[in-house]
Amino acid sequence: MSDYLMRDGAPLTEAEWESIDSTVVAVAKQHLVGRRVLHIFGPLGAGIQSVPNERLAPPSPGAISFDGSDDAAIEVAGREQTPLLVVHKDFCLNWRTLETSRQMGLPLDTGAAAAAAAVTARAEDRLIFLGDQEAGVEGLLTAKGRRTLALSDWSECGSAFDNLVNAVAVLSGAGYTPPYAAVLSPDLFACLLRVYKDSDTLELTHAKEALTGGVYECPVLGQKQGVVLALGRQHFDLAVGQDLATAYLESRNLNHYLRVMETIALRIKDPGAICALTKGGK
Amino acid sequence: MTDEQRQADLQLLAELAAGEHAAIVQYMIHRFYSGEGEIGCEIEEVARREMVHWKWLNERIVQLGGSPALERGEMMIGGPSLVDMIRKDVELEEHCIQEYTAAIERTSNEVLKRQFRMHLADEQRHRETFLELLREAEELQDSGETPHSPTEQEESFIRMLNGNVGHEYGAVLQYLHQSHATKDIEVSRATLNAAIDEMKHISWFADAVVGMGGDPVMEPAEVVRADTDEGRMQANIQDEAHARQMYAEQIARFKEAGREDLAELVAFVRDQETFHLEDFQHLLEQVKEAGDIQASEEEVRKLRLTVGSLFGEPQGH
Repeated sequence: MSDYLMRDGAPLTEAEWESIDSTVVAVAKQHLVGRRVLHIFGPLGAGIQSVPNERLAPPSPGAISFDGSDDAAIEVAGREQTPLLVVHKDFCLNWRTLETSRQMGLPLDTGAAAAAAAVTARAEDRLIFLGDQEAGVEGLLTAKGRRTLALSDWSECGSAFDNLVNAVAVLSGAGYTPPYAAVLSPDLFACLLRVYKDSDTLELTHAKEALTGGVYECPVLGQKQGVVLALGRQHFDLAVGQDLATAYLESRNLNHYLRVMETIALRIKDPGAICALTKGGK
Repeated sequence: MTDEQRQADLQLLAELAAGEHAAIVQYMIHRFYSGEGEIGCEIEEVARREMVHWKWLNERIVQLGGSPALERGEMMIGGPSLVDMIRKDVELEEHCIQEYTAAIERTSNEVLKRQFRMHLADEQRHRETFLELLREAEELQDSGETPHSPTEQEESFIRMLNGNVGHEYGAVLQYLHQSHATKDIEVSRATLNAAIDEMKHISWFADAVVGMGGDPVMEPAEVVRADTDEGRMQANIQDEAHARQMYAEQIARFKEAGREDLAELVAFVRDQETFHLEDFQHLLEQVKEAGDIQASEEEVRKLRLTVGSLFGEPQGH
């Protein structure tokens, strides 16, 4: 079978690939946010183009009886095929950079690879949180059936924490159990970096006690965007076909062109586990 | 161990293996001339021991990351008298004793030193054996049988059988090489067994050559050194199929000439080659299947997660 990443045919040594791969993975791990609140489903392989997404019907209460009589099972309420989209960014490995490393025995400068990994990580988060309209794919903040809560004025001390606790209350009131997590735009996240009321601790510290799944800053979210999630693979997960890898594209003008890429799909099984913070609560 | 030491040990082992290879062939040639009497059996016993030495040396070569050594050192073929042949065997053993004594000094590898000491002790015993055989041969020397001179037809048969000896000799080397080079225990076992069979074939054909008054020619046919088990099995299948066809033609010729004894001998060898052919065909299928499994493992490797789950991990780490 042919190697679709075309690495075997690339004029790079094993050590050079190792250097690129370790940089790409390390930078991606540093930048990715969505994977901190989503379970992974896969890897399924690059050949898988879509993955079934089953939305579960809201469960009835667990049964208690003497003889285990009939129970209403948790069943699939709907099923759709979600496409695994290719998320990628290309980069150029300059021939002189490569030659310098080889000739002088210096470590390979993988700055371009790191930049491509960071951009790809951001694209993955954009797909997870905002979806992709062109591809007809929803994100956590755009999913139909998500819950919403009006974003309060976080400029007032303590209001950010109170708003997050209210979002948790919305979810727990609907029957969703911890752990909860919040993903916030940088401006909202910055509001948490203040001392909470008369205490000597940051609002962020208080928030993390309420949201044990974590409170994360996500640069792909626009100003005053945030979401609180009830975590669990029964609510949503990230299907991975090909996890983040570097492919060889071509050689042009003596330079080498490579691509950081992956194939992923966000599967939202229960949008009720999402509580988006929106201006006006819509 | 430094790479330099390893290379030096590999060179030393290859030299010793070449010496053992020469000893095996020399003793076997002398055994063919001496017939299957007591002296012939003693010589063959020493040749077998040298085969074990050769095998051990090649095992060490492979352990040190080298490729099995198939080269042959210089032989001291004697004759036409048995006395002269055995005298040459004594000389060769004395040469081997010097070689191993020097080898023990040359290497700093304790494992090799231990191995060489054992070989040295064997060679010293072989020298004593040959000295005793020499005395016996000298006593028999004057019993005086006139050697048989081959007829024209026999000359033709001798050439044919010597061709078989060369073919079988090449097969022995090829199979022994594979037996050491492969990492598949099934392939190793099958090729070693086939090599042992081919050695017997050499003896039978060479005995027939000497029986007609000819001289056995011990020059191996071309040896294929494939890098993969699949390539090895394909080469073996091709060789065995070629041998079967060659032997089928010879059987017809021997029958036509009224030499049923030679026809029977070649037919028996052909049947064994048929078994080898089928065994190698079966192994080729196995090797291909194993290759498919390896390919699947490769696919699994491609499917591994690189970034994977970061669930619950804090940011900024």
